[in-house]
Amino acid sequence: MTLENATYVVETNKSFKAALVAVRQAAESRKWGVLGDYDFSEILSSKGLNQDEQFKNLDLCSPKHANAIAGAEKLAALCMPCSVLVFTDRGQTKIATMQPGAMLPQLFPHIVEALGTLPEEIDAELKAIVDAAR
Amino acid sequence: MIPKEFYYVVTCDKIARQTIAALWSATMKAGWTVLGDYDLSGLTPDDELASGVEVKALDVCQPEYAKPFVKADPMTALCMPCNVLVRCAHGKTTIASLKPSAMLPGLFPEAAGAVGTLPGEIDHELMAIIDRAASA
Repeated sequence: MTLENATYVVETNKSFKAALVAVRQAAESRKWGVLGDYDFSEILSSKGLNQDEQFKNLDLCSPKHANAIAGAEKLAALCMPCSVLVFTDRGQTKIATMQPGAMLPQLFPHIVEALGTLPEEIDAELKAIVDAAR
Repeated sequence: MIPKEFYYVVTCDKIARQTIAALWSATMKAGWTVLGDYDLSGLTPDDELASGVEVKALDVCQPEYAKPFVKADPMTALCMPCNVLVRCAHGKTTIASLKPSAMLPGLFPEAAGAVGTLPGEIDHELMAIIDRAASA
């Protein structure tokens, strides 16, 4: 499987916390919901696996888009919600997201035709959220 | 035709609540952690929702397995935690999960090279958790 374009990452001058706040604001202003989050630096540290860097996933969802995709293929819910990762890399804060438009055709090729341009639209919306938050 | 190398699916005759409880138990017994869950039933079409279809996602993690991935490439955290999907419709319940060994090499080839056989080991444990939950 080739998934070269399945992720999108940008650098930001914001602090880790400010970037997280900015992602929440950018998502909500575009009618995407923030369903929850996971702080992997805390999760790993709680098991004695201390981290030098910080990692936090925000789980985003556009119910309108999710409904269309889950209606076409029920197992596509395995890829939901969409994940936006804020992390630090040697002092640099970065924001990354998966690109469903690059993944869905390979995982579920039989629904590509039914979905039309929706996967690309979702990619564009997620990129816009990340770019607005940077 | 769905390319089944990407995911693992089993069926059982438990209702959704029993299946989720069995997954919690199987996950903890395997030394994994349940980080949270989502009720995705609201994403199903109105007629399915009215007929009682339930869709739930359980987020599971084994931090000792997660660490080598984020050390190799922090972006691999985009694929975490592992998502186990439960769908209960018309008396039939399916439990499904993506296979990290099929996903990670395509998404993060350098990280996959750095962690060796770990994705396959995670597949094996995840499938065992699902099998144990289905047969409990």
